[in-house]
Amino acid sequence: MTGKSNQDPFETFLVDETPYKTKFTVRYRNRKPWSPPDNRKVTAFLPGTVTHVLVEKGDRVKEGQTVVKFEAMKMINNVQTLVAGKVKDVHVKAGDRFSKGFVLVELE
Amino acid sequence: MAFNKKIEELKKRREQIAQGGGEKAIEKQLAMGKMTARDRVRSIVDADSFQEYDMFVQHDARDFDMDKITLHGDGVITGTGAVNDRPVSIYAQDFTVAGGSLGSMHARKITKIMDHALKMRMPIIGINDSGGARIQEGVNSLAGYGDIFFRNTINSGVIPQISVILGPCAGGAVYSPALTDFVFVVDKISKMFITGPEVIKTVIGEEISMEDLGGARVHSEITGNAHFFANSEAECFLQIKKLLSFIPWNNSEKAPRQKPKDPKAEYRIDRIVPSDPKQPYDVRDVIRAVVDDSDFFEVQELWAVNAVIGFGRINGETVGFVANQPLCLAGVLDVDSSDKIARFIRYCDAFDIPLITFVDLPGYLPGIDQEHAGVIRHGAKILYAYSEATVPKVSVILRKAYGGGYIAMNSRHLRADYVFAWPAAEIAVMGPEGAANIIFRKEIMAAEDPDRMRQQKVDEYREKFANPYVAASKGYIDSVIEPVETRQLLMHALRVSVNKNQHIPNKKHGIPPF
Repeated sequence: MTGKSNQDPFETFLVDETPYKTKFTVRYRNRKPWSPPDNRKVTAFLPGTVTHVLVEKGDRVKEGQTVVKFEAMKMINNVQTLVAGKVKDVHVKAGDRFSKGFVLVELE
Repeated sequence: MAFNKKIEELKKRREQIAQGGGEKAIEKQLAMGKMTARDRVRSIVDADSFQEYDMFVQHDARDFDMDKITLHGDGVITGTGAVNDRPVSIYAQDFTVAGGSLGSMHARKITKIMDHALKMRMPIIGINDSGGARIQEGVNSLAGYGDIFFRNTINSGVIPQISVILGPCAGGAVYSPALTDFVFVVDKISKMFITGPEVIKTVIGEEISMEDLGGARVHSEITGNAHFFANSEAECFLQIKKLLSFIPWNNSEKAPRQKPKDPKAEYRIDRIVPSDPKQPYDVRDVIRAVVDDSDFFEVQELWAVNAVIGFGRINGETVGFVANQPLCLAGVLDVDSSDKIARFIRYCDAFDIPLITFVDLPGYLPGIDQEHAGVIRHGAKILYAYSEATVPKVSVILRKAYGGGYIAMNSRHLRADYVFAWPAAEIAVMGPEGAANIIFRKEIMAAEDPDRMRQQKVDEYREKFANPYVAASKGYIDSVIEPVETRQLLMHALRVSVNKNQHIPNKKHGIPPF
């Protein structure tokens, strides 16, 4: 998609197979690479602090089962699985703080 | 003699109040590199034109021993004055008085001057320098914010509303600037955020400085919340005055006319744009080559720089410019540039400022990031804004205008009044390379030398379709013009449009893709 030339500040930027000589915007340079969603990773939808971890490694869980409870935005929130499976790993313990998108529990 | 005594007392009271939060607090304010609220107001308005109101207002809090505390002016200065002899209303939060915190009387002073500005149909300038809600006043403080936001919304599009961020502006307070037309920020002084670094650290353990979270640069380059970036307060005040010189005082007045001037000779319009559509150039030079005195006043110069917006004058009259910027991302439209363009169109339309659009873009920015960020919804704003705008709308297609980008950029199909194209314009569904590869795929694949065949077909396509004459033959563009004729034709188009009277069907309001 893009290549950098050494002589000048310009980049090569391809639209409809046409290479344009141009510069990049801050947003374009900082864009995040996309990765397909993985339902076996149970991630935090808010930043917060873990209050309860309800599963252990090796446990069987159902779809929609609450696996972690955490405090965020002045409330206790439930984190539920999106699919059924066996717990491969638990990455948090009570009292841990995490940011949004952090993987709390992984299923096999 | 009793009368003289009363006057003495008045003078004493005035002097006391003018001290704001007192010497120590003023010293602190200056040590932060900030001017006092009164000096700020005086720096913006014409000399000796400021008349302060509600100087003697006191806060009405009684809880938490607040009844024992005096807060001069309740932490905000309000009044009217003039800028270039035109009346303005202005308020400035005084950080030296209780950190400029907003209590109910503080808010009432602000809403009173806002109502006054609306009634007198003059601009309102708000200088924000406040620690936020006055916690001691509880929900009354929140009510104050709500009253301000409501007025910001109702005044929107009737009188110009200008926000100047000269200190912290945090939490709910940020929504007043966000609702106004233009936000001015100053490097190292302005700070805007919903939740500050301390809360962020407590809640998620992420550490960031105020500057990196919501400093002037962040809002000028990343978020797009600010419109004008200055290195000092003095520079900021000059920018405000310059902006005011371009805009009308309300939505039923025209922008002030200035003496017409020719563009500067150094901007040679026929030498700016390279004929090869792949080569970059600075579209602002094209604007400078057509506006009076080559004076182009850019808005949001540092954000979404693949699009350019701003004000200039043609033959003495204010015009709003929208242009693709080939210098950056080849001038494509994306989420941010769509927001930038659409809002500016609506500003100009609300205040009866004609729009001139310079078109040179390969289309919308491809990418997962863009699609997932809602480029459909954001891109639609441009279509909506141009279609709905009833001010004179003129386009000049400088070079390429491909696909959806061609339609969006004030095409005749969205009821542009005039669409001109330069002779090198390529108006087509996509660039010749892409089009030839699709249309002539079989021939190219079957050829002995596919690369040569591809080039041949690309050239053929460019020759036949990537020119202004196909679109001109359908009347989609009104005229193919020489670059050197541009200013003259823009003058003509604006002159002819002077009594433009176009209406959209009666409705409460449309439903724009916000």
